[in-house]
Amino acid sequence: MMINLKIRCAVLLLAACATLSACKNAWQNHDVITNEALNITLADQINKTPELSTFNTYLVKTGYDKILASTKSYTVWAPTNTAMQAIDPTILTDTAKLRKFVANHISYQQYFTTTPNPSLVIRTLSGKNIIFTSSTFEDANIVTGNVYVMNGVLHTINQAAGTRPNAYEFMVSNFASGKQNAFIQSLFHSEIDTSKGVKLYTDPVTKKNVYQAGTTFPVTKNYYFQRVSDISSEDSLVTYIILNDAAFDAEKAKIGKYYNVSTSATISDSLTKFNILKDLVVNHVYSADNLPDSMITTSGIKIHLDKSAIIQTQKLSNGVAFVVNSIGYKLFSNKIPDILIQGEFPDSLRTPSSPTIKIKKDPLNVRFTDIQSASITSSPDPLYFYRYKVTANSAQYKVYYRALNDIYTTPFNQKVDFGTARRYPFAAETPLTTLGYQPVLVGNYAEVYLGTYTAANYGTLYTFLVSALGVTATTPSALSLDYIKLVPIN
Amino acid sequence: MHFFTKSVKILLLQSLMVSVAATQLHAQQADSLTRTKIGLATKAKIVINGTVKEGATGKPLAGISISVGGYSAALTDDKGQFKINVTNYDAVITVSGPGYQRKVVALKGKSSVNISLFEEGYVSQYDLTTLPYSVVPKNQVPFAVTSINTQGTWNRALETPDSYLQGRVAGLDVVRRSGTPDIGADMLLRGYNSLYATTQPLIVVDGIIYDNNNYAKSIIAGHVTNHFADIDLKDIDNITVIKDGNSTYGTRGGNGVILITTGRAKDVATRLDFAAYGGINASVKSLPVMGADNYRIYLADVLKTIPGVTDAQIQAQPYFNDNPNPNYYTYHQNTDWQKQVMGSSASQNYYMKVTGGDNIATYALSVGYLGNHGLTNNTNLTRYESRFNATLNLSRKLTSRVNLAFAKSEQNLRDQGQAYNTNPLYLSLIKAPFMFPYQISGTGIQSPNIAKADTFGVSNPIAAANKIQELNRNYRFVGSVAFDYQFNKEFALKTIGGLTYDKVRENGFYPSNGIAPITYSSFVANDVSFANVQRLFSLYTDTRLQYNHEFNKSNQVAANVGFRYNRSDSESDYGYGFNTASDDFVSLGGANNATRIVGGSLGKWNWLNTYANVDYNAMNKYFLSFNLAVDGSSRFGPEISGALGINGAKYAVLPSVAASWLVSSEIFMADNHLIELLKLRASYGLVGNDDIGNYNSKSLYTSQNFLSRQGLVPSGIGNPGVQWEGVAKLNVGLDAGFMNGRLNVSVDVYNDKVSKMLIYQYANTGTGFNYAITNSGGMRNNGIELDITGRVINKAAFKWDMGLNLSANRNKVTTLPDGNSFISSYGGATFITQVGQAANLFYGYKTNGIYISNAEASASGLTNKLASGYTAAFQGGDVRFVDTNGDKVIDEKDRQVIGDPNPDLIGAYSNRITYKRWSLDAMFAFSLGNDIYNSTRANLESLSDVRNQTLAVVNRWRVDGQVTDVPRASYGDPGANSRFSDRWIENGSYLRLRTLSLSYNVPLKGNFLRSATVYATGNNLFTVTKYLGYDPEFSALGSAFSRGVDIGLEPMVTSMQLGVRIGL
Repeated sequence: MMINLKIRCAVLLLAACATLSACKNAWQNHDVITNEALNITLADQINKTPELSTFNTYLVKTGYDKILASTKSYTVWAPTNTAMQAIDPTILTDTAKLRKFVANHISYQQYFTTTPNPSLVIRTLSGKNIIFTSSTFEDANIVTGNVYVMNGVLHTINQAAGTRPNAYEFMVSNFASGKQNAFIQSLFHSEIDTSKGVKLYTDPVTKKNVYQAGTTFPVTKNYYFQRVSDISSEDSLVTYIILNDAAFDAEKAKIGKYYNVSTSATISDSLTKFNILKDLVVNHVYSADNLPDSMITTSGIKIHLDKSAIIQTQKLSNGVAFVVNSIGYKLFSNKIPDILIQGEFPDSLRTPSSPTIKIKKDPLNVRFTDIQSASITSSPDPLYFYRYKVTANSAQYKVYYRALNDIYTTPFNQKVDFGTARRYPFAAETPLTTLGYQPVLVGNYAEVYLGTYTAANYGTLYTFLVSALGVTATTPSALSLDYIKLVPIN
Repeated sequence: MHFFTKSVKILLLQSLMVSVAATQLHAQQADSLTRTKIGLATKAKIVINGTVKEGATGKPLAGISISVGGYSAALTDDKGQFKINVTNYDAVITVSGPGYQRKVVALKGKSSVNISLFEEGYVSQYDLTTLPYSVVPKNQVPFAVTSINTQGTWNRALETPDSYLQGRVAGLDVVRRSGTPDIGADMLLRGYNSLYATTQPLIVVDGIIYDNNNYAKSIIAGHVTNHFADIDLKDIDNITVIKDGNSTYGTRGGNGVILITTGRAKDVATRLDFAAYGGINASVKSLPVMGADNYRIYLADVLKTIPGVTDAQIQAQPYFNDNPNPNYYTYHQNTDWQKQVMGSSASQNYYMKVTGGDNIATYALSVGYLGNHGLTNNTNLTRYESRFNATLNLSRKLTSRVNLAFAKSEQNLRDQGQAYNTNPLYLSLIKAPFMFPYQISGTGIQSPNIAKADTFGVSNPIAAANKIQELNRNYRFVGSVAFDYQFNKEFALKTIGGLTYDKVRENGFYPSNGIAPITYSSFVANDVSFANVQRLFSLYTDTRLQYNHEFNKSNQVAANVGFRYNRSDSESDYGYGFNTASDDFVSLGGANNATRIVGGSLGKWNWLNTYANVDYNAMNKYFLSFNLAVDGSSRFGPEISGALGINGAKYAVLPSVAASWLVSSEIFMADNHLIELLKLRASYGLVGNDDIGNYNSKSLYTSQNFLSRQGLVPSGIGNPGVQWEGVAKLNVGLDAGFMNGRLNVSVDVYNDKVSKMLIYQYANTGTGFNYAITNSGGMRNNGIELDITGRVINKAAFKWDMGLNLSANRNKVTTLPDGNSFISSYGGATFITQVGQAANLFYGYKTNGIYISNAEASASGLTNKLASGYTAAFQGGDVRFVDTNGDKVIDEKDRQVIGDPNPDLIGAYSNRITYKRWSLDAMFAFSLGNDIYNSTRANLESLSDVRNQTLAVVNRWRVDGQVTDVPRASYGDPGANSRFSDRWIENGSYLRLRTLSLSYNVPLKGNFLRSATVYATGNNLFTVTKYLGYDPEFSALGSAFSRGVDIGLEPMVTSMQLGVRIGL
């Protein structure tokens, strides 16, 4: 009987164990890894693929195998052994280059061949962008794609992709002594980065923020990158035009006179160079074979590139570079721009009462905004004026304006004066260059030609709209302006 | 105490009235029996000879008492033989003796009987069954009842009465709410008999209705205050479950009645029993969520799918920065969060019971202490209980019983279920495994301070387990005094009056440290303090006149007429405060005045139940019971059509009739030695459910805040016709005993028809309300129950009892207003209730794998219409939802029934093996064919955000042609792949070794100890299930519309106790 009991207990225990293991099975069936590949890492996968053995050797050499064994998501485009034979041997001997080369075949995240639609620009671990389509990786074709494992996906490619330079790197390494590069190099300077700064107070005198020591630090910046385009950035794609020295000099000769600064020839020279170079970056990648008639540069200037002018074309990690021996553009009203002064944005003014800014419609139902001061019943010294501050080239301009007289039933007079100083002179002082009083006709919506003005120097030009002299209470004058336009002609 | 003295006064007054009414003092019943015997002795002609043997050994039993009801008595001699006189051959002989079962033997025309007895505690057809008016052997009961004589349940230290009932009563579906200590169970007797009113059986403890309802929701998420736990299981002598339509409790008996009798002194000798238990609760097996390695890869994948996010932005996140940096150690850990918030724990229980007295008064006094810990760290329970039961023989005719019980429990809890910001178990599943529970320095040095809510806005699970404070305190006093006055042999007046005073007080605080702030419409809550008080005061009286009449020895009638009155007052008040000065200010008083939220509710209702009952016994073979209840309630509307009206109030008239025929007592069965007992039963009764809301018959106003001004608005459409739900219960059954009681079988077939079922009926838009409460539904439950018990091995030293009960219930909705179906939702699941089907079927999308490529998805030609109204195209890796209606658009119209949360079959298989002084109890409980919505897994495999997921998502779809059943990762789940579908519906069938208990009765020498027993008990030792969650058994609300929705409550744990019981 006792034996019987023991057997029964044993059976019970066995049943318990069996069922306990059955409990586990429920989950095991559910979360079992259905694909063995999902148990191994990219490093393992590459390691066990014979045709990637060469690439794997370099992965191990550079330590990237450890990264590919880590728990982030990666995509690897691994060149086959055959493809690896074709690469430049200098890369393999230079550790830094090799690291960069290997890293250029690895990106974060998983990209399958189904992802590009039609193409994707992907940043690799080398910091460079590559172009991935459903069948290609840069210039290579994908031999086997979409091998997914635990931490990413592996594509095998038939051609290795060395790292491409970006626009800046290309210029520095290939045209180091070129004048274009020389000037851009001269624009490097040091700044204090305050983005992480802990602000203590604003200095009451200098009005500058004072930061806690150690929270700000100097950084090297380049004015060209800051103000025109950061051609060293991998974040955007550009077409970058490099002028050879001849073209550069030609350009300088062509536009130098419009950047004349009487005080300093050096400044004139720098200004000219900067203005040559500011119009050489286009935020779009064009191919040399398929250039459009005109391209708009990042500075808003329309340029034309003749295919025959291109000496060299280089694919870049951030676009394309054209080395050219000439560049075409329309000079006036483009490179040397029109200056349009909107009346409602005066830099300063002197009026008997507040001016009125109104939105109006012209007879063609086009809306415009103008500024007016009515009921000017005296002519003080200096006269009443609106002042506008613009930057003008050292060029001759034709001056137009539009001023609407919807104030009085009879015309009133006003004039446009130009000066380089902020102050409008008293009657006893030297008067400014003036285009003379003009009557503002009643109900005239048309643009009125006022005459020409030649700016001697590049730089700030103060433009004054000045009220009539000798007004009285019985015959009041006024100021009225929609815009003043300066069109360069010479 | 004030309440207590008040009630005592009332009761004393009543008893005084009774005393005055009694003009003559008569002898007590025992004496009257003697006189009867003398009076009738001369008539006795028939002498019966018999032998009583022990069932196992066949050994003759001496000193066994033999009696013929109210007539004669004898004792067996050394050879187990006896002689007794009877008046006729219809008489039954009652056999009982210390240590042996009680048996009722029909003569069937024979003059000699051989009787074999099993030991005391053997489950048989002769067990005493407590009915509302009497205690009778089960073979004489015409109703479908299950009676459990608990035998003290000394081996079930941690059990509450409701959870104890699991698997013990065929037809009673006991689903434990969760693994929290003392949280008890939802009990469904023969399925759901209501959709919106209570579904829980009426509990009557020692004649007093035990109000087990909660009149306000716990403010601790996922918690339910279980008042049933205030009764210590060891105090209970008998539990009788009346399953069919005994209408005596009228409109409160619709879900069946559970009658509980607590322990009294069995004799005047002083006995002291002391028991002490200590045990451990094991932790549960962790759900397989991803570790830091797989999680980081998943995270990279899912973040990539946020529109507009670049690789660089993803790689710039601190957790992807693998280079040395100050945050490196903060984001480069591998924490098993589940192990951080839950673990094994200890339990202890002490209990002492003293019984004794003299011939004037006997008493039973018990005190108990329970200390138990929950699965979640820092949760625990402390419960103190005391009970005093006394029986007083005040005079020869007047007896009195006093029951006083007081219990206090104090429970530290944590949020469970749908508290996604504060539920430690949920947080431990979804928390990024690369985080660390504590703050950590740039050089990897760990701080004792816990980490704050993380960069994803997920609270620290450790904070949810350790720093949140949630305390539930529950006090309950139940006191009653009963007086029985026996006018004469035939008439007696019985009255009982009692009161229940219950208070639940809850306090809580969510700190700001470690818990993510909660954004409300007008402010951000960094910390939350809250409190809640619930009170219940209930007065109950039951007075009846009892009449027993014996026409002759073969025809007896017992009748009762009386009334029950119950008055209840409930109150609930809660308050929420936000943004206290610091985490050290945890009370409501410290919270910001402007944003404090307070509220509450009051309830007051009366119930008057007038009843009449006639039980008729003919020739001890034919039993007939008629019951009638006429119920009035303050809840009933004044305009119920077709109802009895008295003085403008409406009453429910609910009759019932039950009959049984003891076929085995017929003479033609006398020679059948196989069938010892065979009884056929049939009953039909009308019962009701009065849980229709206190004030739904009235149009009420409620206060409402509008633009910072208070005003009154109507709270709903008053329905003057609102009435009790009616349940018509038809039951046909059979009880049989074979081979001298070695095999017992009970079978019941029933059909319960629910009519006038409460429904939230859609209201006309013009009314300004969404719905109105009407009695416009109907459904039925039918089913079959089987209960088999028997002794497999019956040897002197070795006995093996086995029991199996099975019950199958089928629910069908028969009537619904408005389009005959409605849809409800709970915890992310959607249910449909429609005519012709079970009331609560899962209603969602069917799926058929996933699209393995974009081409396949577009070839399907299906459009995905989302709940937002937008449409989207399916793509590779999306779930392939079934287009049910063939319109090429996947939208709400394609939903269909995808599962049934109701089990096909439930039951239990129990074993009791005794070997010499050892005994082993093993009970397996099982549930078959029920479906579960696994909302935990729906969250953990949604692949839609930064929450950690199960390991299964490693198989997620990545590329065209990949064959898998796990969809793609997509942030925000734009294609709604994780919508409520059959992907989350799982088979919830389980088989569980519910209890395994070994006890050893220590042999004692000397007189110092009366008895000593050692127990080793294990609960929930193993569970066989395919369910992919912690536990397939849970009950969030007890409503039909929450059944089978696993919202992530604390799972049941395996617990083991060692205990010792000493008798003095």
